[in-house]
Amino acid sequence: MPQSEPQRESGAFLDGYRTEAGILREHGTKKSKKLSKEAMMLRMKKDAANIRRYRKISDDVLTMKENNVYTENALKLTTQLLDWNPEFYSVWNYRRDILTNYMFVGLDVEKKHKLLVGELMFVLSKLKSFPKCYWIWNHRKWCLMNDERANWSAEMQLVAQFFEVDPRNFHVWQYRRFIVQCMKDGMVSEQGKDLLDFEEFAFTTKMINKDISNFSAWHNRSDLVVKLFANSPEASEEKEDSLRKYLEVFNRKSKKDFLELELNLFQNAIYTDPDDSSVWIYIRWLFGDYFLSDLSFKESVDIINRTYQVISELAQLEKEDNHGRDNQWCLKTQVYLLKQLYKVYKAEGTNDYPEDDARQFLEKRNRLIELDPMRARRYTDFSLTSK
Amino acid sequence: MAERRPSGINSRRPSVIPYLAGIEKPVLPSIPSQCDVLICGTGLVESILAAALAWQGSRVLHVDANPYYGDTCATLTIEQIKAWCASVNDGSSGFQGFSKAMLHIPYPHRLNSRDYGIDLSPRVLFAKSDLLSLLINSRVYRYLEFQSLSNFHTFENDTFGKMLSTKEEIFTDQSMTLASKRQLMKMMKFVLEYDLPENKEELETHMHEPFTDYVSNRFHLSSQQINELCYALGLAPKPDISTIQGLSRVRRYLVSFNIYGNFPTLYSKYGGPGEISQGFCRSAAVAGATYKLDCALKSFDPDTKTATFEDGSKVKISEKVVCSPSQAPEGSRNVPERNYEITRLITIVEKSCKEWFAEGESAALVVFPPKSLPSNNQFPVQSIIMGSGTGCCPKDQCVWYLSTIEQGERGRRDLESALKKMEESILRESEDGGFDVELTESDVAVQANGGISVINSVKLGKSFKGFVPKEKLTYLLKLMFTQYTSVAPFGVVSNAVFEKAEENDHPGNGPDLKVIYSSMPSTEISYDGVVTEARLLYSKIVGSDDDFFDVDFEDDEDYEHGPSSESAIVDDAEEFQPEMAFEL
Amino acid sequence: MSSPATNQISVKLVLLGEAAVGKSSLVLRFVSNDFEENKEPTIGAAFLTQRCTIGDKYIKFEIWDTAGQERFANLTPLYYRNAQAALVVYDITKPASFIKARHWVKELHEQASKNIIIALVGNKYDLTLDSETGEEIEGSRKVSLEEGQNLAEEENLLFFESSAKTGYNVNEMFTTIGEKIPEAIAKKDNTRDQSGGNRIDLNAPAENDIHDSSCSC
Repeated sequence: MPQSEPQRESGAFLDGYRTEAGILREHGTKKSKKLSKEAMMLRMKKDAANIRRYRKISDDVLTMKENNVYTENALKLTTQLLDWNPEFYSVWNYRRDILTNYMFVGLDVEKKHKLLVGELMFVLSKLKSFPKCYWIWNHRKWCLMNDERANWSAEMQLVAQFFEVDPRNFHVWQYRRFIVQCMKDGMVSEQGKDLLDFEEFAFTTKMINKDISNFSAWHNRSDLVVKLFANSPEASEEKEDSLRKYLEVFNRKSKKDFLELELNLFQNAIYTDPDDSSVWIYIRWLFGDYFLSDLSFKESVDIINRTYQVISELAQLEKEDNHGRDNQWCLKTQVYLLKQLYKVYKAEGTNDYPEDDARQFLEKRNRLIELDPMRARRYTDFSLTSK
Repeated sequence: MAERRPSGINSRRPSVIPYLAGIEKPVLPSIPSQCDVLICGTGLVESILAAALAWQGSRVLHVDANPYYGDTCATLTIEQIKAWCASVNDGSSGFQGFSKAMLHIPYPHRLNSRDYGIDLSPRVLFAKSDLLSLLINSRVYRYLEFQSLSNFHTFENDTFGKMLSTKEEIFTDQSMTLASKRQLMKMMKFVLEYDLPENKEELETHMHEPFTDYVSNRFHLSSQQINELCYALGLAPKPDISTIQGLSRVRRYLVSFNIYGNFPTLYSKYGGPGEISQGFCRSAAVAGATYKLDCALKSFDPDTKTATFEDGSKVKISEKVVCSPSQAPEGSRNVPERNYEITRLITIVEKSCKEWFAEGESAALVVFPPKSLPSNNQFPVQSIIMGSGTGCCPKDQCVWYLSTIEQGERGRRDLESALKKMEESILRESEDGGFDVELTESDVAVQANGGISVINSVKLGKSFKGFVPKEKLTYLLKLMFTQYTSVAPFGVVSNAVFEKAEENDHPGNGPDLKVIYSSMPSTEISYDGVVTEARLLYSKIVGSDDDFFDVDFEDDEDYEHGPSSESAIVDDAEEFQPEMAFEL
Repeated sequence: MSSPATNQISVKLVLLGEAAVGKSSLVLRFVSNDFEENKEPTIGAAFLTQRCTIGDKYIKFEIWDTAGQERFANLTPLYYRNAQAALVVYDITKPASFIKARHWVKELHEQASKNIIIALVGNKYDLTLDSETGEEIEGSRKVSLEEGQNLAEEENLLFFESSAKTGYNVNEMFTTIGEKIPEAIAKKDNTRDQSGGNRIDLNAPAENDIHDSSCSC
């Protein structure tokens, strides 16, 4: 395409100064490339200035830190520095020193609370841009630990907001556990603490429903189940049918009935997404010693066999749909269940472990070796009798 | 900020700011005498093109024969609609490409013209699409407001249903069997992965067979599910689509989920393509393009490279003239054939229709698959519902946009038939207790004006066979018309459409010799194809589309947070795996 | 919980007036004076933004220039939409531009929202003064101060005479507009009406968006 004439009538196309781009194009030439260069230069100039400023502040702060300088100005400088780089953990440390050794001095509870509220705002503004930065979360926890007026329910709301954005962020899950623990520590009534645990359990159900691949939710669930079997709140008029069932199971401390309830859940999950690791890992936990040791021989054999059956059916469907390829998660779980079953027989002191199961075990294990030669050694060492 | 202003600042004049240039500039009474590219018609494609060219450095003169922006995809007030209809029917220039406009306004005094923004070619925007990326890259999104649209209803067996399409919906559904959950999930997964190397063979074997056959054989889905996939999720405008067409359309829906939230599509508030066109026109203007409305092209002389307008003014063009067929000069001989029709029915009803919207939203889609209507429709009817929250109509009213690619009388009959069904449905959904539905506490609400209880809930999914409505739906406006385009349904505009301007053996010396024509809005209900066409036209003018909107915009917002350093993005699962590991 | 971020009010301000009366110059004067050193108009900016603190309000002006689209009176409806403030500018040395200003005021009453704050601005005050003596040059002014004041009074507008060149009255007009913006209206406008409250920020994909409302401490 021919270049257009550089001559143009005065003001024909430009009011003059609408944008810098407009000015650059004054001669009607195609300048998009040049334009980007101009923009780049501009940016580089700004960057260079910024970097210089950053280095200066950074040096100043570290020197003050070394000299244990605790002043309001020092605090201000850490704010600036952390604004730029919230990953600078030693600056967070220094900031806490300034707070403890200078800012907190002489403050009553109320004033300290006010100060820390401001600090929390600063932390939040950083978390918005860096929701996965360990040091920022850490600083937030510290603030709350130092505030006798800490508003825990506000923190729970904040957690909910973060989950809206990323329900799998494990920093947020960890923080949530921290808040719950703090809330529990502040409670007198045991019932209240247990109720909180149960609410958290219900929350994991909700989060799993939203996304069955939320590993943190499954993990938290397993954590809470152990707590609730130790202590559970009395069954009140829990409205939701499914939740009431869980609560009753915890009250009765019936691990068998819990497994029955979970069987429904994970069956639904593995059918919805047979390739999702979180659910399979959770199933493995469900059939670990924590549960099986509390079940009678008959109960254990029964539930393991039924679960095995469910997975076998899925494995068959998977194989048919995937041109004869096995689903490895199914295989692994089948092998695992057969071994757990063997353990159950062993504990009962009988040698009646079905021969068919032993054969199945070998067959599935060998299939795994075939499919996953990288781990062949590990699978070979894995037998019914191995530890 | 007066207090932050250092004294004596007035003397400092940063050199980059041109020396108050505008002050000395003379007032311009007429259009420029010269430009690189003349574009006639401010429809969406032309507006994107204008902005792309202007930012690339071309001097663009962008005109429209109409007194408003948007051309064939304008957003109009009631008064403008009336004038538009009259012009369509008497075939005035600027209105070619439409025919048989029938307008009925039963209660003129109840319509305050400016309260409405009626789209001639409404569309919805998928959250993952080329236009959306372009809106962001070009910064045009900042002129506009976008809202979400999640509900895609399918009409089947006299019932409005909503397909389960997300993992969450499928997982928590109580009615589906485990086996069909698994199949549906498999299907969704395959849709997302069909172009992976391991699926290549399968895809190649089946890609040209009918989508319905393939889905039913491979995933054993029910015919209802297949219809939903095809016509709701895929928004297919016609039956018998091929496997590859079906897969790509369903994928468009699935990949759009969770980009901005739990919904697949968006729309621009206050009007669709008409509003977005205005955004691109403004962008073009910022980059230096000149705008003039009420300015119709009379002729173009390729020898002297001069375009003449109806008002007698002339402009010399150094590159090309692009023209929408709707604005072709009288006596034109090279306007591309427009062999495809869309029949549209637009109504304004006196109902909020909130029953159809997802919570917090103001819009929805309803599709009627082939053969689902009493008119025994051969083609699907697609319908966009825009409530008052969209800014297109006043409170407690709603705009319904129905369209089909069925032609002529049949098309109009199908649309009327679908309209009837929608009317029945909304009356049933919103009627107060007269119908046999089980009421629960949450269904009953107290109206603000007194103690009357009404059904408040969404009871979609229930059949309304045999339902006799007690009240009648009030229509405030009904507009039916036919629109023509050269883009085949499912097709993307092809270069061939524009080739005519380049041919040597012209049929005659019309007033549009060497004019490049755009192709009129396609039959597609989404914005797909719009950017493609703008790019094609762009390369036709510039020679390639390499630098199409290749501009570094510097954002003042960028610097507010300081330089971003690497954040510790750790994969959550990885970090926790050891605690609950699964190793044999 | 009073942080600048939570009290920030966004104000869309549109410019109107005949070509070459100095609309953009006024904005550039305003924006470039009160910002970091060497702040240039942003390349490709959709509109210019300027933040300032007025009293206890933290205002972010989104200033929409006409981009030349006013030349043939072809501004888009989009331009007026949800504008909370407008500057109608004329050149006090050009009577025709004052007549045009009347036209724009009328246009605003028709197209813009009801409670828009409009400032009538007679620009190029500097041209009426002798740069050496600072005294008024005989006959240079073509629109009298009173004419402007009268129109402003009739139409209930704010009124300023200004000079983008010297900066005279530039900050004052923006500050006055900022003061006039009632907080409630600005807030209401930010959240929009209930039914349409689901505004999506296209530049903030789902995983990066924590709203200010999250801060409930």
